[in-house]
Amino acid sequence: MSHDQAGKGSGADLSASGPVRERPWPEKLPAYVVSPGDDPRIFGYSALGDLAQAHSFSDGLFLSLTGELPSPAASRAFAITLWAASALTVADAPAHAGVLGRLSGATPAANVALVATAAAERAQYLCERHAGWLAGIRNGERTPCTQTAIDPSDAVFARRIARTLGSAGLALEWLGEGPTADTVILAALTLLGLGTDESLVTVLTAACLTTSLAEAWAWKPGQFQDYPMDLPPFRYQP
Amino acid sequence: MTRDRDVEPLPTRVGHAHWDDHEHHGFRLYRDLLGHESVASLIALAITGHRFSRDDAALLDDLATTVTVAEPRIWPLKAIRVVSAFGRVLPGVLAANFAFESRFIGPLVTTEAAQAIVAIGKRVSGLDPSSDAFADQVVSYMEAEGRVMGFGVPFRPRDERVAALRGVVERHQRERRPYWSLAEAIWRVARERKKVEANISSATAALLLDLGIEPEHAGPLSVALSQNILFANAVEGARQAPAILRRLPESAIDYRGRGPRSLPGAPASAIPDDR
Repeated sequence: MSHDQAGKGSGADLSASGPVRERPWPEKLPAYVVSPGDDPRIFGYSALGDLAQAHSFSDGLFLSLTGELPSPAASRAFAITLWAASALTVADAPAHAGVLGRLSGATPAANVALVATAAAERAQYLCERHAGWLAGIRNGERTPCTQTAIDPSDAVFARRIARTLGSAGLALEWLGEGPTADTVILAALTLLGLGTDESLVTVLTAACLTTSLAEAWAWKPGQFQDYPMDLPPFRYQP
Repeated sequence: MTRDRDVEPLPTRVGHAHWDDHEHHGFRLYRDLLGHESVASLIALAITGHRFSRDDAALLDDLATTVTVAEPRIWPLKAIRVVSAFGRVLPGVLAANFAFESRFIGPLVTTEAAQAIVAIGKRVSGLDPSSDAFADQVVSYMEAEGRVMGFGVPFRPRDERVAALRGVVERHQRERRPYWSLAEAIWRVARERKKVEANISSATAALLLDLGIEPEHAGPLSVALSQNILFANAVEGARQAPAILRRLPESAIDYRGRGPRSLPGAPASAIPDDR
């Protein structure tokens, strides 16, 4: 064997010492949300016996993030917001990244992880970009976001989301005339009690995951000839 | 139809594919770099855009060896084991890199540790490192910042990697370089006045700053130089693919959450009990 083995292994049992071994640690892994067993419960509700009988999966997402089921009005507004947040196109990074993974031949699991990463990064970016404004909403302020829609279709879609949520009882007219779809969605989720970064990133990622992946699955591995390789163009400038 | 103003060209410094050779940060791959770069210097070039001398590259090699703590029970590395338990290597490697995307632990915090050294350096500029005025400035910075990256050693009295890296720096005769000297003085004040020890992030930061590496590059470079411990765990974890990490036994779980409850107005159970 050509590998250098010099100095390797003393033969002694080395696993009995070291900072990990010589300190007491808990013997069990704590669980706080889903109880184990033959009738698993989510925050106390039986997944099959209670939740599956009377609630939508989006209610379950709300429960997972808040610890409580939504009221009927909140359930409707949350479902509308999820539908709005699911409608990302291949122009958006999550689906675009998924297409690239698919073209490269990534396994389904790897491509789900790739799309989830892009979706979560997009959501985290939105949270950070709107952090001050979202904090204001949580503190009761109702002022329009300073960032307004540039793309006319985004402005129209934003107004449609706000109007649809308004018809479901979630008043968002205070957002003014020029919000982006993203800011309407962020405001709605914050008003629904999902305004932490953890909740927003989880919801926004979950909402667009399957639609973005569906866009990726529409491609075949190796279908490179149909992908616009120079969009956008890169210019080498060392 | 795509409008021209929507697709501005993106500048890139990192690469361009030619027919017979390729560009990388202004260098020709086969003409300029091949045969002259180590893995560590190639990684440093990739991140910083600058080439490093052979001795600098050797220092980076020693840094990578110094931080090779591959203990699979360390949290980000445990994440590798949990994910690679399904038999694949790269998802495990990615799991740890995701866990490294943190302002808490892991090599990426070297960026903030470097920023702290630079910031303290500006405060103490011109002061004698052994003076009370120097110590007061260090303490003032640490108290104003609250939690300063590069300090604090969990679950053991001191970070053995700092001592090892100090030996590396001395062997390469870099101990009198500005940032390493400054860092040693800061660490002494932190130990004596704040009862807190420096950790490897601060030591790595000082070493990299003396190589002319910007703080924003120090974290990514530290992550890149740690990939060997990630692959070590991912390769072994994927080969073992242990069932116990795919699902722990229920007896190992301690449920502390909300107790059973029913929906208002619902019967105790809407589906038959099969037991």
